[in-house]
Amino acid sequence: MSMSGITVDDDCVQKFEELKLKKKHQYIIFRISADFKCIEVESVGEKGETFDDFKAKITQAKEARYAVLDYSTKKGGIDGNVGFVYWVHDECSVRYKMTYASSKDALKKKLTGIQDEWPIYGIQDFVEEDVPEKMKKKANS
Amino acid sequence: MSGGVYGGDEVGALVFDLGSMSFRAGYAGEDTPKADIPSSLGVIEEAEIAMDTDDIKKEPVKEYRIDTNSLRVPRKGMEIQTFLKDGMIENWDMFEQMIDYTYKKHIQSESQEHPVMMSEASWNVRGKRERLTELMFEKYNVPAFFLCKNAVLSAFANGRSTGLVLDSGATHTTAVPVYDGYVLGQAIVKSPLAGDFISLECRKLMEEVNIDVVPPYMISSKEPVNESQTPKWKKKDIPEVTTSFHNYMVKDVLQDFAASVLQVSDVPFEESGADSMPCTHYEFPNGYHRDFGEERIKIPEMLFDPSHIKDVPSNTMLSMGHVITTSVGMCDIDIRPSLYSSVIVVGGNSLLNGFTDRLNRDLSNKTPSAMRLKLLAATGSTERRFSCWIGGSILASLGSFQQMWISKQEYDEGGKNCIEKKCP
Repeated sequence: MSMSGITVDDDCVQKFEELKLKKKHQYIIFRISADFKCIEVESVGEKGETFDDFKAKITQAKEARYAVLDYSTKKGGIDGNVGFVYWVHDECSVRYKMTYASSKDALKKKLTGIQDEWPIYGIQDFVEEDVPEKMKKKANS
Repeated sequence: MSGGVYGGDEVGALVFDLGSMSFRAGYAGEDTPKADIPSSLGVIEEAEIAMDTDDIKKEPVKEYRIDTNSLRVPRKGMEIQTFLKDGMIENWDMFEQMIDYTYKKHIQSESQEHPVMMSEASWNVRGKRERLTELMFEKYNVPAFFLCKNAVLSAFANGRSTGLVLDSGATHTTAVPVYDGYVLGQAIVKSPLAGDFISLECRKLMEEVNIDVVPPYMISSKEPVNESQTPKWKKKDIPEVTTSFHNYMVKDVLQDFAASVLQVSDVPFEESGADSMPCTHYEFPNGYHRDFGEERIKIPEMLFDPSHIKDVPSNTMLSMGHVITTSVGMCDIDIRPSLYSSVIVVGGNSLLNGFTDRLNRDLSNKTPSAMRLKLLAATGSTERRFSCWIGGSILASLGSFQQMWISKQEYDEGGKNCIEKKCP
């Protein structure tokens, strides 16, 4: 349930469709705008960027981030391996924890077709092996 | 720090958080509540002056004493009561008195000026929610209202939309699973092993070892005495007080005793190992003082191993670890790992020394090894006691939250049952 009333910028959905249907991006990182009004696209990862590139980019954020990650290129997999990543430091301030946790559903609802979610609560949990089975299942088939 | 952190759209909303120990109130956007008022009220029933000759039976006039300072003054015939039962509002008269008092003394502003966000027990029932909504709009004329389950606020404040919230407060300890921001109501588990239970056990201990716990209100002066010697103190000249008042004041001393002396053992307690426990010195308000050794760990051990409780069949109460595993066990198997990976510990009773360390140990033994276990507990006592209020404060201060409120207009059009729709 989304409880903050924070809205989702149209650009988020547009970029997501590009990633999902046209395979234009490897990942998209979203953030809550500085005025806490909407969720916006922070950056997109070019096709071919690795998991480590993604990790480096998203963990730059001091507070929290949402992202969608296309996992299908891994080991030459097939389409449809797109997962949602929810990144929040356990050390970040309660204001960010509260707003990111209570707004997550607003974004997830807009990104149709995404089932799998991978929550990461600290850099030590941010390892490729931990990507949920469901997210990489198709990649290996 | 003052409000307005998010700039713009300042609505000046109020946040009320109801706990069995205290009622917290303050402005949204601030870091801590302005007021932290005991949930217990002093009630004085005025003797009926037999003037009326009609047969109509009049309700006795009641006078209320609210807030720490006036509650603790000994008065003849004053009973200590609370408006909550099982975490839900039971006595609406007393609740209204509390709200009136809060607006007048702490908020010092008109109720129709500020939207109100209120927390509620996760198992609150529809009838009470509707009645509360009606009360806030009809009596207090609030411009907007929102009701939020306290477990959800605590989870969000820890950055989680899914997790298991263990709330060990005054009257009970509860495990509430939250999934994607929704409370899974059918899997809530409660145990009476909480703060009041600890106070009660402390009281039993004092009786056993013949320590007379004298609350400060009875003492006019005291002289220093040597350790374990009979205290020398003079009794104050005070009116005859009720048993409930005396008990309340005794409990207050015992709570302080519990916070400063008790220690949860890291490992399950064994009589033999208890001798090595370092002693802690404690001085009671009447000047009596002595060391406490194995009692320090014996009492809180009951929270984690109810078989140590005397006079109660050991299998009737759930330990802290058990409350959690039982609750998780009632949830869908697919979500259990995500609940164990975010166990959020809140509530005043969890501040007992060593509480979270022991809980962590007990849970690791009980959870399947494949599951990752993570306990989240705010380190500061303020954050842990007020986690729910702080969460509400941040949420209600967001400009975007304006569209979430139930507005006065919506209430006027939809009636009190709009609460179920807007605040599920």
